[in-house]
Amino acid sequence: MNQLLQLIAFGIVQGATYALLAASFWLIYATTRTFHLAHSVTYAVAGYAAFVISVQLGLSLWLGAFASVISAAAVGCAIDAILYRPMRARGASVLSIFLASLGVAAAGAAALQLIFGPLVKQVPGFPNATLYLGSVTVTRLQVLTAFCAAATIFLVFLFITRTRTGNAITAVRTNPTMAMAVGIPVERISVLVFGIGSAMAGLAAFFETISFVAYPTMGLQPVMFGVIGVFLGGIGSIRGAALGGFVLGFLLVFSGLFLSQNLGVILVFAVLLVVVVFRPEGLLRSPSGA
Amino acid sequence: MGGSYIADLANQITFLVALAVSLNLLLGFAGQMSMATAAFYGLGAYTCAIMTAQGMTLTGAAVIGPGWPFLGGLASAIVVSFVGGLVVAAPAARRVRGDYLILLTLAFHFLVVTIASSWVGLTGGPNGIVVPPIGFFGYEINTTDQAFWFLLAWAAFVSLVCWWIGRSPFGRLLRGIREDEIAIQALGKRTIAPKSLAFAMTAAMAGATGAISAAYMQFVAPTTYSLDLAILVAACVALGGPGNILGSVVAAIVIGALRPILENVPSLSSDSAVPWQTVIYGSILVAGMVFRPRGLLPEGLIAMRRFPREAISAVPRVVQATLLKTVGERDQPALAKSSVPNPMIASPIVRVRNLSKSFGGLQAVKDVSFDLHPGEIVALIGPNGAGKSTIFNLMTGAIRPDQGEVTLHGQSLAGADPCAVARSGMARYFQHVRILPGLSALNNVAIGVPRQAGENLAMTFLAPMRVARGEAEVRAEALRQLENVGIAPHANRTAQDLAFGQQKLVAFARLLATGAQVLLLDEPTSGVDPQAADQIIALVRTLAQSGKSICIVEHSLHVVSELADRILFMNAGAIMAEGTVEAITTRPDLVDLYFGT
Amino acid sequence: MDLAKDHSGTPLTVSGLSARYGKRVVLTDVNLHVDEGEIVTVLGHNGAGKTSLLQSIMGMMRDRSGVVRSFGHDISRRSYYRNVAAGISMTPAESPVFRPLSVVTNLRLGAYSTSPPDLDDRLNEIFKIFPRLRERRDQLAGTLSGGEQRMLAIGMAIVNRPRLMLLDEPSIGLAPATAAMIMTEIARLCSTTGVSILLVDQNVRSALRLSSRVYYLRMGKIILEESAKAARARDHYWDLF
Repeated sequence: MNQLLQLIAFGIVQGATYALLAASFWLIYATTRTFHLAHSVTYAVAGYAAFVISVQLGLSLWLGAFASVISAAAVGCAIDAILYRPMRARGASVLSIFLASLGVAAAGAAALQLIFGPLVKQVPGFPNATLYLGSVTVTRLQVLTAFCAAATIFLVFLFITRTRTGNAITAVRTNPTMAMAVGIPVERISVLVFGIGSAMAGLAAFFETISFVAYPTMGLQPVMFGVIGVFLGGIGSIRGAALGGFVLGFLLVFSGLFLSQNLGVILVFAVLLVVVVFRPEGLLRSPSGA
Repeated sequence: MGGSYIADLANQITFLVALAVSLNLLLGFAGQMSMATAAFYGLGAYTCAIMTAQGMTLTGAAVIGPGWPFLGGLASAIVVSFVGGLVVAAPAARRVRGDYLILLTLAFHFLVVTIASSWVGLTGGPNGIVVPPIGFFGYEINTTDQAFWFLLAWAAFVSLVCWWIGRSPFGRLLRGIREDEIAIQALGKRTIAPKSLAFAMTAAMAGATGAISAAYMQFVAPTTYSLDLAILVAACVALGGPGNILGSVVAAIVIGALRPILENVPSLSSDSAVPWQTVIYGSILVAGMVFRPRGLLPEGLIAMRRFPREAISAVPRVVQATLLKTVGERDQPALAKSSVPNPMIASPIVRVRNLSKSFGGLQAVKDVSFDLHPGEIVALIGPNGAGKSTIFNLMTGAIRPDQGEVTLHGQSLAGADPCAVARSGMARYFQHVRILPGLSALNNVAIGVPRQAGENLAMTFLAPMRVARGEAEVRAEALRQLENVGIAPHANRTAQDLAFGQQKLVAFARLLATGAQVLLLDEPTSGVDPQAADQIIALVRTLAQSGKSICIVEHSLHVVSELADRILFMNAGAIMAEGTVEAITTRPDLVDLYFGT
Repeated sequence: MDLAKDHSGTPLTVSGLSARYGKRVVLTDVNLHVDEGEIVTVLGHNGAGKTSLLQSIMGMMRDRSGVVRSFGHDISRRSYYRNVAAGISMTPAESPVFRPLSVVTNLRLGAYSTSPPDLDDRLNEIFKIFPRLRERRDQLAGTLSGGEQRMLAIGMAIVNRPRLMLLDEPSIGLAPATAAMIMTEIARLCSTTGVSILLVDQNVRSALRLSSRVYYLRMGKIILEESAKAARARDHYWDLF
């Protein structure tokens, strides 16, 4: 029983982070149909931004967090505006855009290594402590990470469903022709979702950096978890993507019960195969063909 | 391992060449993207390592494998990666969109990397496994120089296999799938199996290369099989030109030579050579996709086997004459169209019975029944949204009816998908043509020929002579059909370079190549100039005279009145009237339905 | 076409408009104009280029050439969202609403480019015209019937108070009574607000009843222009399609 509660706690902590990553990838992928693997570079830049501000410049961790989010948003917008937008305008195929994204992912990580060197970077200084909640043990940082991730997803969900701009994003996502007809500037919406989605990834990267370390290829695994979360939960809505992230976190944590450590990815892969075969639209089907 | 440094550099490049060429089979020919190149390379390497390792691992534990010789390890690597490829690809191949394959290959990559670094008992974890050297029939390769010729031969062999597949009918099928999978299915070709097979072949070749590399390095460790390697290989393919084997070879040699060159730049530390190489090929990949998406050596430069020029210039001009003649007959009374005296006497080929279909609350098709007879041209007309296209979709199995059924030659088509329907002899001509833009006109048509021996990959290797003979017949048939529609002189041109009217004629030739007895034509003349329209009209009439049953949906009443023996007038999903052109166009109530009241 | 007449200040003047999708030429040298407060209909069968015509005018198609002028401005190179903000509305024929959003959100998105301060008043006006929309204001647009979706689409077009409307097949797929209601509403809009309308429709006769002039489009070319009166006098239109 105690072990179960502990696993649930870890599942929530992991799941919230993966849900944040899935929601961030979903926003970009569902709205612009870009399989944006270069998201991993955005993520790593955000990690290093925290290092530069909080360690190299010696400023506070709060400024580091701010720098992570802002630099991620800037990188995401820049990739869309400089690279993807001209390619879309020229009618490039989905495959060429994906290959260009791969090029950015590879070159970006290598460039970070050239700038900051191959050694990992730590950002210490978070006043961490272990919390004992009944029989469950978690760290303060884990709680904060999970809370910020969940809160961010909720805020983005509110933004998408409640605001004028959020509705315009849904409009572009579900009916681009009609969106153009009512005068929604589709390319601006595209840059906007790259900005928001990247900022979300930047937040996740900040927490990873202060919990562990920053290194050039730190973005690959989180982006993969985000991608899997999106397809697992459902490409039709942000709720589906976030759900997928949570399911992923719980799968990985609970697989520890019967698989040796780190091998939960076997279970994840098996579940993914089943979903692609039997429920290609994901676990959460979206309402009214959204 | 001893031997010269230069030979080692060359050997590393041969691995890159083999990987790039095998990925080209998938990315270039089939148009599918895999992120799992490094994963299958690693899967093969680890399989070989586990099966051949002897004695103790680096950590001191006893190895768990059977200690087979190298060739056994290589064979097991090929089998494991081939099967692994099928497991990854088969679910994704069911979907037309390539995103699912990217997803699954990406997940598979992490699966392999995680197992390699975490399952210590099997893989040695981060410490890796020591692998015995390459050796067969008592001969062992122990220096880089000895290995070079073997590895060069392997890379050449893989390139030849891919090149052979690429120019085979199976390769043509893959290219067709890349260009337009729906169109290929509508020609009666299965697409899931070829896609999965192409993926599994790519995986097997990467796995075999991995096994050889493991035995060459005499060591495997997880860091070798990174996503960067997968991207590096994809960059070689994309830059060399998807679909161009030679391009991949050249690109792999150039990009592979970057690292040793950078390592010898004095101002760079040896640590930064690899990231610099990555920055350079990553940037080249980005620039290539922006400025030259078809690669530096596009497929068209070294196209598939072309038809000899002489053969084309020798095309008899009879066709042109026939066409002119039929066009000339246009002024004759509309009734004398079909050569079959009274189609109603012959028994119908197609029976449509009580078809109904609703989408949501909208009843798109209501209880529709009609017959098609041999040699007859039936036109479906009616205002937009009357359900005409839905009827075609129901007849070809693209959507399932709620009620009713279609029989062809007395056989029910219930439950058949478009591929099965096309195979049983009812083929569809798409309104938006769905030409295969990157293929030559001749290949566009050749792909329509049914039951080609060479579309079976095994036959391509096991019975090459039979495949070659079959292919000669297919090409002759394709050329004959191009002659039929009067554009044989353009046989070798890429379809996307043809005028729209010519593309429509190519699509017609392709439709005829399927040998289908029943032709469903969706707006055959829309979007072409009047001259091309006349050509198409004449063609359709000739087809009916040769005994085909033709059903057309056409909004141009000019075309309908030129062609149709019988008109079915549809409105709001139901057939309102049936009769000759004159009977329909003069009925005031139908005029009201068509043009409103 | 009357070349001597100056169309510089008119709602819409199209000269020499050509457009293509890749290899396929969809419009060739189209010339037409719409005068103040006028309803003009473009007739033509499916695939004749009607939708491409509206999208080219709106700035939604990439490969096009020719000059489009509206209210004294050359809008040939103006983006679609500036055109909407400048008072041109466009209603596509197929899926003209955002299915996963509510009726009222759809209507608000109609005003996205101008965000007028009196938006709520404008919504009430639209609810007055189409009371059915008020009843279903919080329902998802995807759950509406075809006729209700079409009303919503018209509502989204007029919430901006456009001076020129481009309507693509507003009666497609509707039951005759609903279609007639929609067409009547369009005519009433034109007479009460003075908006000019370029209408594409397949219900030839009902479109002709509203219009003053008609263009026949076939294979991307205008083959004939005539007054609606002359067009109404025809027995049928088989030879023009």
